[in-house]
Parts: sequence; C-alpha cells; structure tokens
Amino acid sequence: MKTTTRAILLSMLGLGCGSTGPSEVRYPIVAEGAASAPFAAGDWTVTLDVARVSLGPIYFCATAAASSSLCPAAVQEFADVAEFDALRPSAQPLGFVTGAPGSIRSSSYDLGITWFTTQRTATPAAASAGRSAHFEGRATRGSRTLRFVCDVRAIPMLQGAQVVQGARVSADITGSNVRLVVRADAASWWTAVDLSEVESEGGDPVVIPPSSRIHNAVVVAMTAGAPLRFEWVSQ
Amino acid sequence: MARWFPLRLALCLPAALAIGGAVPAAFRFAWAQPLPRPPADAGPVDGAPTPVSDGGPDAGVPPELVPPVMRETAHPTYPQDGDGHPVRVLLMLTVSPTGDVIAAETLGLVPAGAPVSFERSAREAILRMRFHPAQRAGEPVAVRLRFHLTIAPPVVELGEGPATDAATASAPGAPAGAGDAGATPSDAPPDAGGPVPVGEATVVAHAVEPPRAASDFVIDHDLMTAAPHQSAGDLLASAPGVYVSRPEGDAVAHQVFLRGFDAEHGQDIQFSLGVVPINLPSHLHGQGYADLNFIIPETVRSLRVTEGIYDPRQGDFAVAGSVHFDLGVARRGVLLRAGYGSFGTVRALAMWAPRGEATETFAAFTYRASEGFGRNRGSQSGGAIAQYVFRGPAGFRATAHFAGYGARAGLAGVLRRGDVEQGRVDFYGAYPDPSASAQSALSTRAQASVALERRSDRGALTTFAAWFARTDFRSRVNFTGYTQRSRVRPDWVGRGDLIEQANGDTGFGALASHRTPRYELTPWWSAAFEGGVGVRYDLIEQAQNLLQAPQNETWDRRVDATLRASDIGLYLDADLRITRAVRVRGGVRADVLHYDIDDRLGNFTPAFQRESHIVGFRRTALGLALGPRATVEVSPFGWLKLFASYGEGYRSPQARQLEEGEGAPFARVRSVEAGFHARTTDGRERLSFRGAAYATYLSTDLAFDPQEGRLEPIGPTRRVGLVGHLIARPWPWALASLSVTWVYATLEAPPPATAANPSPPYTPGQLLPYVPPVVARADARVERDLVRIRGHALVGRAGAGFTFLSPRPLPFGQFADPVALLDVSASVRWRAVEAGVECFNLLDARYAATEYSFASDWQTRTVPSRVPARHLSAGPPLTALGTLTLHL
Amino acid sequence: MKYFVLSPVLMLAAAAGCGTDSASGDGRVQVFVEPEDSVTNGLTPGTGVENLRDGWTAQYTKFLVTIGNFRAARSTSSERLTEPRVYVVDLRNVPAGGLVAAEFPSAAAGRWDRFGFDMPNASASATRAQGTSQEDYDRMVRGRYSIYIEATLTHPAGRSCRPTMPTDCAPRTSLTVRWGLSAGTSFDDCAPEAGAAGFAVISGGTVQIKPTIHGDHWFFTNITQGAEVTERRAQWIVDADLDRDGETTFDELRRVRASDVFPSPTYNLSGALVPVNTAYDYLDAQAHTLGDFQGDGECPTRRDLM
Repeated sequence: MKTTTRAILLSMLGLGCGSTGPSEVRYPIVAEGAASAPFAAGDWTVTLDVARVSLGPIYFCATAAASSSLCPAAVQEFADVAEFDALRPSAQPLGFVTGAPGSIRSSSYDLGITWFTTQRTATPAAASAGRSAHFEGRATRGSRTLRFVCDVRAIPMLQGAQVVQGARVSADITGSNVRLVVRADAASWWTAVDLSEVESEGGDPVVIPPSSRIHNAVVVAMTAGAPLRFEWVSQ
Repeated sequence: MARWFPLRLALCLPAALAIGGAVPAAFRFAWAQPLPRPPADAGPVDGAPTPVSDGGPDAGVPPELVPPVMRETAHPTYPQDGDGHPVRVLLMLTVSPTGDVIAAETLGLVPAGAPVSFERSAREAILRMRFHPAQRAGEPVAVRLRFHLTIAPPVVELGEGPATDAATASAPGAPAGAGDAGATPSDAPPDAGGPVPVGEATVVAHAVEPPRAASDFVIDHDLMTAAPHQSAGDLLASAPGVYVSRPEGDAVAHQVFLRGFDAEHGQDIQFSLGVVPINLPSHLHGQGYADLNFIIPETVRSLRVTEGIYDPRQGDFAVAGSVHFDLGVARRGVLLRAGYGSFGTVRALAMWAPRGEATETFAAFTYRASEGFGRNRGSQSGGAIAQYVFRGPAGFRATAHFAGYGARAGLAGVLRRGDVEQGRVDFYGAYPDPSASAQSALSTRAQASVALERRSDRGALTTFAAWFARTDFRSRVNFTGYTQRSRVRPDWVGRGDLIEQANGDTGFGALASHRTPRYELTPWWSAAFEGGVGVRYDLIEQAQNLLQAPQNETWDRRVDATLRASDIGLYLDADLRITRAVRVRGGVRADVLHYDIDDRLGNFTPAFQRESHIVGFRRTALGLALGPRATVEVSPFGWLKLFASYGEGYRSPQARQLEEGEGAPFARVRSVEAGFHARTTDGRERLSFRGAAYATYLSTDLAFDPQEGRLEPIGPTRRVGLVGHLIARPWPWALASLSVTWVYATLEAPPPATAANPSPPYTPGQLLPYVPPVVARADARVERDLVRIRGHALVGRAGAGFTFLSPRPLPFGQFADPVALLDVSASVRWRAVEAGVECFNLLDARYAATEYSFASDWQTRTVPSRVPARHLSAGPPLTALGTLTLHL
Repeated sequence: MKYFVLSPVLMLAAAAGCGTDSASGDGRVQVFVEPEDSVTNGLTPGTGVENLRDGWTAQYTKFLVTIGNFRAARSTSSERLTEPRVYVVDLRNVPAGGLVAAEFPSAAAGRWDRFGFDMPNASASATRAQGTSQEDYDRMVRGRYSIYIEATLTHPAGRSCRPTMPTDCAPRTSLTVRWGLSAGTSFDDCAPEAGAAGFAVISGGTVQIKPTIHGDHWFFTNITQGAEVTERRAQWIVDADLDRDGETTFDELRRVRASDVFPSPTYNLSGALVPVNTAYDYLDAQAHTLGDFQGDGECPTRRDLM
C-alpha cells in the first residue's frame, strides 16, 4: 500500500498519521582542543600552559549572512554556556544542541559574555567565571623568559548582538544521529601577539590587561582571525 | 460592579415588567390586526396571526376558548417542481393539549393545479411546528384549526458586497407571521369531546433556497440553540466540520476552523449578516478579519453554512466556504434576561419583538462583563441590533437594519509550553511581566443597511440593497517577549515586543439582482436565470507600532498606511431543471478589485543611511478574478438526492504586500465535491443524513506570524476529506445531531523564501500543522411539559453539545493532545419566568484553545532560546452561568 | 428564446474551464544598477548615525565595479531567467535614469523568489557599460578587479598615528586611496527589506529591480549583514599610512594587524567570508558585501568567486 494511501487511511481513524516534517533534533556537542606545544609569536617562543575557553550560547541560522535581524529564529542552538580546555585534544562534553531539522548556513555565538536584548550591559555568564578565556603561558626570547596570564573578555559590540555573528558553516542536519565537534586551536590565537608590549611590566606572572593591544589581538584572533571550527560527525 | 448587579436588577425589575407589559399592548393596538387577548401563560406571541375573524376580535371562537399560539415555526422547502409562484396549501390541523400538531389534513391547494409536492412540503413543516396549546377555562385542550400555509419561492438575502454577492444565496425566509395574516372563522361545528375548531390562521413562509451541495447546511434555530453558547460565533459549532475558539480574548474575533482550513479570524470564510458583509479586507490583524461578536446570539434565527464554493453569489474570502447569519425572533414580545456566573461573569439582554410584525422586526440590547478565567482576561462589551420589515403593495418588501457594538478586553497572550510544564507560569495565567500585562484589545462596529425586494406575480424577484459599516480595532499583543530591535532607532532593543495594531475601516456598498421567472422550454425542461452586480468600497487606515510598557511609549513604527480598496462584482447564475429528477445550477462570477496604497513608511530610510529621498511609497494595483461554479443535483427517489459540485473562488490579497501595478494576485481556490442527502419522508423528517467527499486546492495559504502579529503566506495547500451529518427528530420534543468531518491537509510546495530563511525545509506531502484531522460534534435537545402547576405547564428544556478534535499535527512531527469539550444547559419555565443554568466545558478539560510554534524570549531562562517552541493559549475551564429570563 | 436560453448555457460551458485572473501572462523585467548615495555624495563628519564619527570627510572620485550574470528562478518550477553578460560600470557616471544592465522582455507573471547576481573579477569578456571610459574599462580588465575606487579623506585637524604606537602621531589633513580589489563575489537569495524574497512580475507590465552597490561598508565597525547597525569610522585608513606619504596602499594595509586598528568591542570583525588578520583582510572582507537589493535589502547568500 502506498505510503500516502496508508497515511490517509490511518489519519481517517484520527490516529494522526502523516507528518509535518522530521522530528526535532537533539545531539551532543563536544569540544576538542589542540595539545600544547611551543610556537612562534613574533620573536618570542610561546608555550601555553592553561587555555580555558567559555563557549555559548551558539545559534545556528538558516541564512549565511546572519545577524540579529536576519536570524530572529535559529534552526538549532546550544542554549547554554560551558567551559572547556583548549589544550586537551580529547572530546569534552559541553551539552546538547536542540532544534528543528534543516539547513545550517552560519553560526552566531558568544564566548561566555553575553549581551542579550534583555541585558542592560554585557554580562558574563555564571559558568564563565567572568571571562571568555583564561590563558597562562611562558614566552622566551633568548635568555629572557616571561610568564604571563591573561583573562580575555570578548564583549559583544551592541545589545542584542553576539560576539561572533554570521560565521560561515554549512551543514544539513535532519536527524539526531550526529555529534557536533567544536575545534579550537589556542596557539593560533597568540601567533600574532607581540609580547614586547608587556615585557617591561612588573609581576611574575605578568598580567596582560584588557586595555592592551595583546588582549585585543587575542580577541580579534578568537572571533575573526582563527575562530572556532564546527564539524558535524555522524555517530 | 458585578457585586451590585443583582441588587440593581431587583430594583429595576418591577419597572421593567411594567414597561414590558405596557408597550407590547400598545404596539398591538397600534400595528396589529385585532387579536384576541392571549392566554395569561402564553408567553411571547410570535408574528403568526392567531385566529381572528372579520366580525370582531373573537367572532367564530367559542367564548370560553383561548386559541393556540404558535411557539416554534419550521421552514418548508419550495419543491423542485414548483414554477416559481407561491402556492397556498389549505390544511386542517389538530393541535394537541401539549401544543404538538398531531394531525394535518390537506383541504386543497391554491392554485388547484399546483404539484402535490407542495402538500408534502407543507405537512413536513407543519408537523414540526409547535404551539402553546389552546385553553378552555384554564385547561389545555385539543383543537382543530383551519390553517393556510403559503409557500413562496426563496427570499434571496444577498449576503455581502458585490465581490461576495449573496454569500449564501439566500437566507431562510420569514417563517410564519410575515404580517400577511388573515383568517376566517371556521364553519365546522365542534366535535363533542373532540378537538375544538377555532378558526383559521394564514402563514406566508418563504422557503429555504435549495442547497448547492451536500455540504450546504441550514442550521435551524432548534439545532443551533440545542447547546449553550456565549456568543454568535459559538453558534457555528453546530455546523459540521467547524471548530471555534477565542484564543485572543473577548474583544478579538474568534478563530474558526472549517473543514481543514484554519481560517484564523476569517481569511477563508465569507461571513455576512443580511446584506452586510462582515469580513474586512486587508485588515492589519488578519486578512478577511471577521468579528462576529457584535451579533447578539438570541437574534439569530438560523445559520447557513455553505462548505465549498459552488454558488456564484459567494465572493471574496469564500475559500473554505461561507456563513450567513439570518436574523429573526420567532417568539414575539419582550424578553429580559440576566445572567451571572463563574469568574464574575454578568450578562444582560433586553429584546423586543413586537407582536403582529414580521419575525425580522425586533430590537435587542446586550451587555456583558467578566473578570475572566485567568490573569489579565477581564472584559466588557455592549451592543444593540434593530431591524424593521416593511411590506408594501405590488409585492414590495423592505428591510431596514442597524447595529452597534463595542468591546474591550484584556489579553493574557500566549505561554511557552515549556514554561507551563516546568511550573514557571500557570496554565491559566500570564507572564508576570509589564509587557505581558499591557496586552489588550478594543473593537467597535456600527452598521446600517436597507434592502428592497419585489416579487412579481410571475415569480420574478428583483432586489436592491445598500449598506454602510464603520469598524475600529486596536490591539496590543506580545507573542515573542523581548526579541525585537527598533527600525527607526536600532540602538533601541529589548524594550518588549508589544505590538500595537490599529485598523479603522469605513466601508459601504450596494448590490442589485434580478431573477427571472421560470421558463418552460419543453414539458421536461425549464430554466430560470439570475444576475447580480454590486460594488464595495473600503477606506482603511492602519498603523502598527512597538510599545514599551507600562507607559506604552512608542519605540518603533512598523506600519502607517492608508488603503483604498474597491470590489466590483458580477455574477450570472442559471437554474436548469431537466425532468423532475435532475437539476443543474451554476454560473460564473467575476470581480474586479482595485487597491490604492499610501504606505507612509515605504522606502524606509534605515537609521544608518543618509536620507536620499522622502520616506513613503504609494502604489496601485488592480486585478480580475473570474471563476465558474456549478452543481448537478439528481433525485432518483423522493428520499434521496445526489450532488456533484465544482467551483473556483479566490481570496483578495493583503494590499500592503502588493507591488506597483501588480495584478492583484489572488489566492485561488478550486473545490470539488460529491455527496448525497437522504431523509425520511414520513412528514416530520425524522431522520436526515448528509454525506460528502471533497477536495480543495488553495494556491496561497496564510499562516500567523507572531513576530509581525499578522498573517504571512506559506505556499499552496491541498485538502481532501469526508463529512457526514445526521439529524434525528424522533419526536417533536427531541432533537439529536451528529457530524464527523475528516480532512487530510498537506502543504504542496516549500514556503516562500525570505532573507532570513532562503531555503525553508519542506518534505513533499507534509501535513499542514494545527489542522485537526477529525472534528466531531454532537448536539442534543429535549423540551417538554413536565408538570402542570396551577393550570400552567412547567416546561423543561435541556441541551448539550459535545465537540471532539483529534490530535492536531504540530511542527516537527509532533501532535497536540486531543480535545473533548462538553457544554450543557438546562432550564425550566413556568408562565413568564424561566430559570436556567449553562455549563461550558463541563468536563473541565484542560486544553489549548490554539497552539503556535515560534521563537520567543520571556526572560524565563538564563540563556534565551531562539529555536521555535510550542506556545499555547489556554481554553476556558469549567464555566457556569445562571440565567433568569422574563418572557412578556 | 432559444438563443436567450442557450447563450447562458454556452457561457457556463465555456466558463467551466476558464477560471483565471490577471496574475497569469507575461511581463517585462528590467534590472537597474544603482549606486548607493555614499558613492556619489561621499560621507560627511558628524555625530549622526549616518556620519563619519571620527571627523573625517570621504569623497569618491572614482568608483568602478564589475557586475552582471543576473539570474532569477522560481522555487516552485524549473523556469529560469539568465543574462550572463558582465559589465564594467562607472557608478559615478551612470545615466540619469539609471543603468539598465539587463532586460527580460517576457517573464512569466508572478513571483520569482530566487534572484542573484555576480560582482566578478573583470575579464576581457566583460562589456563596457554606458558612461564608462575605455581607460577605466582597461584598468579593470588589466587588474582583474571587481571593484576599483579612488577617494580622498580630509579632516581639518586630522592626524595619523602608528598602529603599533598609538602615541606616535603626525598631522594628516588629507589622504588619498587608490584601491583595486579582486573580491569577486556572487550574491544570491536577494530579498527586499520586508516581505518575500525576489520580485513579482506583473502581467503586461514592467517591474524594475535594483541591485544596489553600497560605497561605505569599509567605514563600518562590523562586517555587514542584515540591518546595518553600526558606526562609520575612517581613522583606521589614515593610521595605516605607515610611510606617511598621504596615501594608504594595499601593501601598507597588509602590514597592519587588524587588532591594532580595530579595537574591540568598538569593532566586531566576525562573520567575514575570509579570515581577518590584517587591515587588508578587513577591507577585502567588506568588499565582498557591497551587493544589496532594492536599496537596503539583503542578498545573504554570498560566495567567493576567486
């Protein structure tokens, strides 16, 4: 018996057969970092010892050039904030992505600090410990070794927007038999940094202030230069 | 206020009684032919003439005998083999002591050669009529009554403006008492111990326009009022395949489902009242917005629910079908009713139907107030309706009508289902948020009309009508919480999505039609033709803003427009009879619609753009809609009729969405149906069963967009279904009805692409969400004399209505819970006093009046969700209303 | 009598299959290329949301683009409209009534919900549009540019500060730029600001659709998508004049780190088609967003045509 005919007959019994489309999807989201290794940042050799990153919420949109006006309703979302270790390559569960089946063409997300339409100011989420990322590391140049620590605050530009808007992704998710892997390469966020700016600052470790060019360089790298990568993996 | 109402009622009642007693008497002397003094317990006397004589008020009637007075009328059917002329049937009735007609003997026909089918039609109607029994010395007695029933061809009550000319082809005509009363004394001696002859009564009854399809229903007063109802919109529930709810409070139009169509507030159903159209074109809240709340339900005599579009008189918005309200008050006299019930609900009704006048002549006033069944649901409303029918010489008849209405109500809005399930908000509550608490609606309506008709001696019918209506609507609703950003000042965001919509419509129109006499082309082939033209013009002012509660400061402007719309229509209809068994009816309808749109926010300059022009965009559009309609009816047996129908209709576009010079892209609908009507022919029509199979294709369906608070296109849809309707009248005092409608509704193409969603997901053949596959309805009613107290009958009445909706499909493969609602009522009446109780949702079912799926942020989560979620508007819980009625 | 009776019958029979309305038939589509106001009139300083906030005045002396391959389709059918020709257009010299870049004389009436066009890198197969000089055409083809601009920035009290040393500033009251960008991009799923995507063709009439080229996106403080909720600033261009010769070149832009001239959260550089690490990357990213629709409508599906 043809599917349509069967659906009609069962529907006649009030059994509500047929469908308005695929069911809602729900699948896990995990984060994977990259193991720490020394890398060059200008004429310094840097090794990151700690790289904890806050991520969320993430909204996946049907349009490629998404913004708060072009994505009033998301296809799928990770409506939470979680922290992960960007120096740990193994999968770290963050939670679940939920939403409607469909085509995803961009993502918009925050890094632990949000400025929702209902928040008067940019507000760190409880799970983010007040920052987007926390880095600790060592930099050497010749005989000079510099230990540094940096709390990065990636703040949305305006109320109702997110710190990353319209990042291009492409996926067609119609079922829950997938897993979303978020990949971060913390080293790539520091390669364009010039630590000479804080070389003469006191303290051990040196605290890199939010007003510094270093801080801004890391923020730009995290949001535009080498942003997080999203990959959906069948499971 | 409600607390003091009973006291005020008690103080006012004596005055009301005095007035109520005096005025009808004065009216009788002034207007009516001389009538005998009605029995003390007769209650309201309807327009049917009670027996009179030429020689004086009571000549020919035994002095101690009080004649019977008609209590309930019934409509005869104009037989198919009639030639378009009225036929008078002379009968001798026997009316029992309980007021039932227990025998009807045909004495003759005028003209004598009229088909015998008129006898059958008259007997079927007569045996359904009920009287207040005759009395002798205060005791009810059986009487014999010479009765003349004139069966005239249908009265064509043109339903709307030209685009919707004669929406339902005709209303049921005036039942007994059209003012043509006249009688002569009986010359038959009374039988000793048997029924007492008391003279004659003459009634002119216009028959019901024959149906255009198997699913063309006339809901008579007895069925319509079997179950209790709170508004005129609730009366529709008795029609097969109809589900009615009020998800947006008492000042916003009902949401109506019909045969698989979610007509929202009227987009897919053409509503009319007499000659006045109710749908409002390009209404900001919803295309075809039709607020039925101004109709006082006690003034509705019958409903014509035409499912499908097979009549050339059906026009704009007749996509699923059309509904015509016919007003008339059968029980003549004064009626005063007061009700009080759950949630501080009070209702008052005063209605006056002068005796001796037509049933369409009446005046009514109503007031209603309620605290509402949950937070922010209080309401108040008041309205009045009046009509007068003039009869002139040479077959002229005129009806003047006016109505006024105003209502204001709070809105609780919608709730996220997840918030209800997690206990953040009560199912019957509302968000404790300033923006949610600021939701409200106000609506007003004033209308007037004059309709003239003339029926020639040869059976031709000419009509002319003009109407005027002014409506105002203002609502403040917030569906989405705090998601929106101002267009005017983009740095303003998160101030609350309280959408204020204002729509003012000044409309007027006129229509004219002519139906020819029936021409006999051959002995077995006759034809009649009808044509009509009409115009409708609307001047519409509309605006939409975002407001910030609690001061309702405007923080964004979305719509500011003036629309001028006209609708010029023509219909041609032919009625061919081929032998006595086959009838072909059909024609064509054409409508020219024009729009002049002054969009004062068009070509809007965004805030971050330098001004390069003056904001505003005026555009015009004009289009033609043309479509055939046809029905073939075959009557192989007297008890069976078979129908096959086809029709093409349209729905006019939302004017502001038109582009310059666009050819007014209508939503086109094609509908086809095959069905039957079987009924008993034993005189009382104890059993009637209709069944039909139908299919409808709509080119552009509309669905509600909560972000904008209005309807947006979703693409083409298709519906196939079956409907069955059984009515049983086993005894004169009992009625039962059962209908089941099944529909399979699917989306036929992907929804339109937008910038936010360039590739909307679509699975071929996916179900249309929110449309219940199965709608079942059962109505039952009994009314009997229970016992006699001091010589007067204590009449008991009970009624019930049960509605069942099967699980409704929701987006993403989900289904809602089924809905089962039971409404019951009971009353007892002794002489002029009637006390009753009405219970709605007797089972106290907890159900969603309507469900949506969209994204919202009500600050109930730490991190807002932006994926579409289920939202609901709670249906009312168990509600009881006690009523006290005086019939004077 | 027979005719009187038969004619309605014949009419009914004829009408039985002829239900129609004026939305069927064909119409004409004209595609106009239109420059946005900033291309012709530049930008002025001020505190308004449409002004340059940092006091600079910007004025274009040349604004050339390559545009073409206009296409339209309907989701519900296989009908297509295509005009593969590509034009080199001098946006500051288009005819007064607008430049008709393509015309479809016989398009089916109704809505065409898929509209798109390209701003490809110029090649020899491109056509020189009316009002465009041969010299400019040759420049575009030779350089394989999709966009070429010449502009002057002026500020009576302007300064240029080193991106890596914000305190090291020198007076700079005037600066020129001469940029040829090979930022070939396709723009699809164009939709007006409100309503359904695409455009509607009127039976027997003409509909005019306007891909609109914006000229101010590289002054924005975020990558353009959707509503332009942004500020306009020009200081970064002046600061990138590393050799302080009064002209900012691509070479200089490539040597300036984005983070040095685009401070967060004043700037948000996310959402670009390409990674943004240098000031040149930002300019290139914005050059991929210039194509809009019917004024300020969006073409959200953008693809790099490299």
